[in-house]
Order: sequence, then C-alpha cells, then structure tokens
Amino acid sequence: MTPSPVLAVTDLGVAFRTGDSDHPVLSNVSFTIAPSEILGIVGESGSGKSVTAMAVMRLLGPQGRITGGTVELDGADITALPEKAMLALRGRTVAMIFQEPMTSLNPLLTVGFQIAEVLREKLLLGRAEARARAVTLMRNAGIPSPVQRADDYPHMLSGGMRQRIMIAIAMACEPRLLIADEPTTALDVTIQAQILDMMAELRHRHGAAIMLITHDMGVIARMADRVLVMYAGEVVECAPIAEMFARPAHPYTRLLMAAIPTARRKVANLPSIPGVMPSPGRPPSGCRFHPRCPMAIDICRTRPPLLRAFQAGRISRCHRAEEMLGLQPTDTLAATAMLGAAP
Amino acid sequence: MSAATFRSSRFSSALWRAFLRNRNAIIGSAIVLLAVIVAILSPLLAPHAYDETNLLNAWGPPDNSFWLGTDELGRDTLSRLIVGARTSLLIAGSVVAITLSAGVALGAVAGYLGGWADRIIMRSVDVVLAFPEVVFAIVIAAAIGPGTTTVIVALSMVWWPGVARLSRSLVLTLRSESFIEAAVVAGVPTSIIIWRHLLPNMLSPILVRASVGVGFIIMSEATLSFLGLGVQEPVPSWGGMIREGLTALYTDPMLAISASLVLGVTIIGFNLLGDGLRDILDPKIEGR
Amino acid sequence: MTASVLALERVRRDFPAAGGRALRAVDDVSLSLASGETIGIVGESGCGKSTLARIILKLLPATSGRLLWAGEDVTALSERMMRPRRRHIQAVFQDPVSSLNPRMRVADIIAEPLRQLRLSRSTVKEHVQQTLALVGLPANSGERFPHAFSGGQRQRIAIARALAVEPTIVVFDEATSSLDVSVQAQILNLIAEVQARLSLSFIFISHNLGAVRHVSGRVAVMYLGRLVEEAEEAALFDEPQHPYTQALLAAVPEPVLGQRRPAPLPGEVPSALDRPPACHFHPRCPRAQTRCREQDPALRDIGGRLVRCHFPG
Repeated sequence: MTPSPVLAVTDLGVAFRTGDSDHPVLSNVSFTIAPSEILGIVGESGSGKSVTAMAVMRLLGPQGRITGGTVELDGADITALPEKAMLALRGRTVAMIFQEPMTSLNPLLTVGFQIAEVLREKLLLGRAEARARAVTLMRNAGIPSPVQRADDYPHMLSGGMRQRIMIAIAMACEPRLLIADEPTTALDVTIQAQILDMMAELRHRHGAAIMLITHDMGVIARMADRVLVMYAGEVVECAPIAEMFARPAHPYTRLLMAAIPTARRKVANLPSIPGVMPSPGRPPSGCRFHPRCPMAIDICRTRPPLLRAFQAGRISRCHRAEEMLGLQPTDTLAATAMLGAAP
Repeated sequence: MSAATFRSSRFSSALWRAFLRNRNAIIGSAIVLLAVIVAILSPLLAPHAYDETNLLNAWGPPDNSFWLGTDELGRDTLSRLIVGARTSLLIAGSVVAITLSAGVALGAVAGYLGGWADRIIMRSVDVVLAFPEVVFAIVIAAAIGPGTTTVIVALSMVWWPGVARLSRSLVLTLRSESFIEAAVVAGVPTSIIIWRHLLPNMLSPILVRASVGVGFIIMSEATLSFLGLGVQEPVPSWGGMIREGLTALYTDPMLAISASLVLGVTIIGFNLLGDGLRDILDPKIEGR
Repeated sequence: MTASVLALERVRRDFPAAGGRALRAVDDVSLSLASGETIGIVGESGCGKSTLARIILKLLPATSGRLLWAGEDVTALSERMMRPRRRHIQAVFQDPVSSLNPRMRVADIIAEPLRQLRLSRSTVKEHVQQTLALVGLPANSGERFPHAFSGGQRQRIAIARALAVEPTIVVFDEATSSLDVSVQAQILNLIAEVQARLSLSFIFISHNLGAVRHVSGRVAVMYLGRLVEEAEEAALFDEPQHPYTQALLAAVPEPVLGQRRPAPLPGEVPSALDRPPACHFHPRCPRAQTRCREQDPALRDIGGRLVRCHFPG
C-alpha cells in the first residue's frame, strides 16, 4: 500500500495579470510527491516550472493567482488557505531554496543568526539552544568548522557554502517538503556534485519529499526518482526515471535529451529543436508542441492532447504516446489526480 | 517568428498609450503647453503694452479693460504676466539647454574616462555645490551687473553639477554593459562610443530630471528677480511682480496673488510632467 | 609549423588587492591558435578564463608576457594603434541582453564594426544582409530593435556582428551559457557550421564541458589562473591525465542513467588571493604527495599533450 503523498497537485491553473487582462501561465498541472521521494521537474524557461513551485508556496505575488485546481499538502488543500495559516506552513512544513543564495540571505546578519532565527521563530527554541542546533545543522550540511563559520557574514562565504547555509535553513524545521528551484545552476560543477550528493542524503535522513526544479537533464538523471516534463505551461510527461530515459513518451522529452551536448563523446551534428517555445498566454492551436514537433500529424494541429495515464506508471500528453511507448492507456486524467509511484 | 516579436512602432505606441494613461503626464503637459504657447504668442495675446504706464490708474481694480487690475505704475497686470511668461520660460529654457549639454558631457567624460578627468570634474562639482545659488548670483551680479544674462549664467553654474553627477553615475552603470565592450572590440573610437552608445541610453533619467528641474529653475529665477538681481525693469518677470505686489499686499492684493498663482501653477505643471515621465519611461516600457 | 593566428606567451595578469597583496588572475599562460582551429578553454569560477578572454581581446592589458596577433607583437600598442587591427579579432559575449545596444537597430548593430572600415554604404548594407542570412535570421531583422528578439536570436545577432567584418579569430566568452538547452543546441550547431564554412579560428570559453567538446579541436583546462592540461579534444575527454580534469569530468552530471559516481572532489576552489603553494591543486587532489606541496609542477609535454602535474595519469 503506497503511503499517502506529501504533495498532491490536481489540475492546477495559474494566471498573471498584466495591464487589464489575465494571461494563463499554467494549465492542467497535476502530480504527486511521496515521502522520501525526489520528483524532478524539468523544462526550459517559460515552461512554468518555477511558477508551479511558487503556486505551491502560495508566493505568486500580487499579479498572480490560482485559477483552478487544488494543492494538497499532507491531504489538506492549501489553495484557499488564509495568508496567516500559510505563514505558519512556510519554513515549517514546506521549505524552499533558490538559485541565487546571495539574494536569499540577509547580507547584514551572520549566517548562524539567520539559521537560529528560523529555529526561534518556528520552533520557539531559546537563544542558546537555537545556536547549538544551528551549528549542528551547519555541520550536517557539510560546512567545515561550523562553530567559527556561524559568525561569518554571507559575503565571506563562497557560493557553495552559501547554498549549504540555505539548505540548513530550509531543513531546520524538518519540513515534509523541500522545494529546490535550480539550486545548483549558479554553482561550479565540482561544487554542484557535492551539493547534489548532500541533497540526495536529505531524503534518507529526514524523510523529506523533494521537488527538484531544473533545466539540466544531467542533474535529473543523477537525482530524481520520478520526472515531470513541462512545456509551455503544461505537463507533457511524467515517468519513473529509468523508464523515461529508456523510452520517452513525448517527442519533446526525446528531443530535449538528444539536444544536450555531452562530454562523453563528440556528436557530428547536435539535434536541435527548431523554433521557440510559445508563451503560454498565446498557445498554438491543438497540441502546444506541434509546430516544432517532428512527429506531428493532422490531429495534433487541431485537437489538444489530454494527459493520459498508461501502464507502468507512464503519463503522457501526446496523441502518439501509444506508439512511442508500445503501451495502452489505462484512464484519462483530464481532471483526476495523477497516480503516484508505480504500484 | 516567435510570440516574443513585435514591431518597433508598437514600442513607441506603447509609450504613447502609457502617456495617455498617466494623469500626471497629461495634466502636466497641458499646463506646460499652455505656458509655452502663451510665451510664444505673448505679443499677440497681451491686451496692452507691458510698459505702458498711466499713473492716473495706479493700483486700479480689475475691470473690462484691465482684467487683473494695474500695478504701481498703472501698467496692465495681465499683459505683464503674459510677457513675464516669455521671460521666465526663455531664461529657464536657456539654463536647461546649457546645463544639459555641459552637465551631461562633463559627467559622461568623467564617468567613462575615469582617472584624472574624473577627479578634476568631480572636484569642480563638489566646489560649486558648496555654494548656495543666491551667493553665486550676487557675486556674478556684482561683477557684471544685474540682468537677464546674470540670471542665466548664475543659474547655469548652479545647476550643471547636479546633472553632471547624474550623468556620471549613469555612465558608470552603462560602462559595464557588454555592448560597450563589444563596441571597443569592434574598434569604435571613444567619442563615438559615448555619443552613440552611452548617451541614447541615458536619455530617460536625464529627461525626467530636466522636466522637474525646469520648475525649480523658474522658481530660482523668480527668487533672483525678487531680490532685484535678475531681469530689470521695465521687462516684467513673475518674481519681480511678486516683489512689487507684496508692498501693496493689504490694499491691492491682486498683483501679488495673480503673479504667485501663475508662478505656482507653472511650476506644478513642470513637476507633474516630470513625475509622469518618470513613471512612463521607467523599466516597464524599456523592454529590458 | 602552421602559422599561428594568435599566440600568448607567458601571459600574467595581476590585480591589486587590499593590504598590498596582488590577486594573480592569470599565471604564466602560453597558448597558440593555428589558422582554422578551435580551442576550447574550460574551468570553474576563479580559474581566470574570463580575464584571459579580455587579455586576448586587448580589453585588459597583461601585467607581463606577450600577446601576438597574426605574428605581430601587439602587447605594447596603444588603443589608437589597435583600432585598425581590431577587425581581425571579434567577440561574442555571454549575455544576449546586455551585449546589444537596446537603442540601435539590428542592422546598425551588425554594421558598426564595418563602419570603421570606411566602406561604401551599399557594401555595408550588402554585408549586413549576407551575415544575417549566414546566421539564419530573416532578411527584415535589420529594421528591428533587439528587444523584439528572443535570447537565442539575439545571440545570433551578436554572432552576426562578430562575423560581419570577416575577422580571422572569434572569441566566444560563455556565449551559450545563458541559453536554454534547445536554443543552445541551435547556436552550437551554428558555430560549428560557420567554422567549417569560413575556416575561421575560434576560442571557445565555457564552463559547460559538453558544449566545449562539441565545438573544439583542442581543449585547455584552467585552474586558479594556470593552465593545468592541454590536449586534443578526444584525448582530453576520454583519457584525462591531470587529476583536476579527471575530477571535473567525473563531476559533470550526464543525462544518462547508471553513471558510476566517484566521491565528489572535496573542498572549494581556494581564493585567488591565497593560492596554495607549489601545486595549487594539491589540497584537493586525491593523489597529492609531499612533493606536490613543495615543488611547483611545470607544464610538461607528455605524448603530444601538456600536463602540469607531478603524477599524471
């Protein structure tokens, strides 16, 4: 019996207001994350992956709003939760780390203080106890000489160190869900490897579910248990990682993986995807990917494909998914929650 | 082409639409436009000659012939206000032209070249900023005698440092943009880099600063004229008229009130225009 | 030996830092680029590759060492003397937004380097159109402003500007790093195609190892200002000799499952102000011995490649 998911997003829609009109940015986004699972969300800029994270955190800003669907954290729908209740959840039950740790840390406060602050606010620890716990968290995050480092200011630390501080802050209250939005994109490759290893360990040590957002398929290959592929504001594929790499169920996924230049061997011509991703506010008719798709057929131009579940835990939004997978669909997902890990 | 493409003409019409939506900009530019038209057409609009005296009608009340009454020498207040607009705006215009060209150029040179050029120019800026404008005007008036030229020179000297500082900080920010590096790599000479790459990208903040500045310049000119250092009789100026009017404030307030009102509204007009421009030209529209 | 179109001889660049110390951003780098060749330069932050790019472009003077463009020593030339020579080395920078003047039309941006050559207006116009076609942009692009284009298209404009003046060498400084995967692939293909078609010489600087492998013939690896390994692309990527190169390649997450994952390289890149003595890499090196702490390894030629290590292999 699969454990109930930490996060269940169903048919989520988000729109942003510019000027006088609303522009849809996300539509029909559904996925779940189980405890101790890493769900990788991969997509290019404009795909809506970061907006998804912000929607879950209810941090869309004054211009954004959730237009439909539900976001269930540990079974409770938070889409309509009053801000005060959300504040209690943030940092405690769900935490987030971003790409640029320099802008997420207050340059005027020591890093130790910033970690301890979370502990005092959220867990109501006393000052001494918070400091001791902060040092422990720093040590667990792999920061050498944590007692001394705790009194450093952010600018004294390298990018990798700052990101470890961010992770320490995020994990301080043992959240159920950690959202990491491009956490290693700004870091050097060798440091990235360290940070990723550390994050992979978090789910074992704390049992946290992790939503890892990235454009880097290599990071996905390394970290994710399951993968969600997003394009132009929609989910186009979801699959357990091995299955997806072995046999992608959407042409975009396949092209995306092929377009990455690898250091392992030199390719004569790098397959590229012609054209540009459409803005979600003005999608093409039919399937959003069809203008760039080498496998497009007539129906792709006229009828938008639905997100469908297939056997073996595969989910795809493509008219030709049966061909790509060699599998039959099990049920249509139009508005129902998406299945979690494969049975 | 992608959804990101749109014509450059749509870009300037986006500016136009933003303008129309901005209340400050509309009201401000209406006032400014009115002032400018009055200034240009003043000889035609003024019902009487501004220097036509009639001592028998000194401090006359408003009537059919003299809509706003007359002053100490029986001259028509309305006509003098209208001609005064020309005086004020001409002086303000000259000062803005001089301070913008000198200030922007010096600031850009200081910012782009750095080193000794920067030091010399910025120290001059500091020195000049240490003096209040009235002091400057008095000194210059003592040297060359009071008058329109004095006012223009004094105000230009007072206002160019502020523009230079703004220009320098804009250049310092722009200098690190890689299109400047690309221009150097392309072999473009320094003067052309400043002219073609730096200046056009500095336009917006400078424009905003200039429109707000005009209001202050008019105010300063009025102050100087009020002190007797500026435009000399019989040429009317709003500041001078306020001074005259104050002497008879309790018996015949019309002169002081009308001159103050006109001055105030014009300054407000320029300020509103500046505020509006700042909102319109800010990053939203710049497409960055 | 084929004539080199660009040569760096023992180039060094110091920056003054607080307390009278100097930050050595580039340390004793020698490099030679042959006609029609592409050299990739890789390294992480603080390795000095960006500073090196600026030195090559003469945007920054070297503290010591020589810079030769087409065999001519240009190290000491003034900016005025450099200008007529600048057409031979052009550049494409990282940020497609800030590398194009937002107030200029695309045609003028591309034509600018050409204008320094005093050509007739019609020649310039023709060149611009040809270059637009070369980089795959529609002919009417010239009339528009940069903000009308996407990041990938802007980078094509930047490439067009670099190519319009028919240079001998183009320096790509992290030119694909700000682009999305699919766009990056398009641009990398364009770069490879242009190189093949026009037989130009490229210097491709990037932290993205896959991208470097795709376009380069020879690759140089930098660490803390020094060249630590230089070899033909296949040799370097398939059989790296320097422990840093090996660690770098092992650390890159590949979009392939079942990768063997050796322990990641420990520690951080030391600050350039405080470089470890002798071999800069020894504090993090899995093979470090006493000798590495005491004796500076020199760049040695081993079987056709250069390695700066006491214990390569």
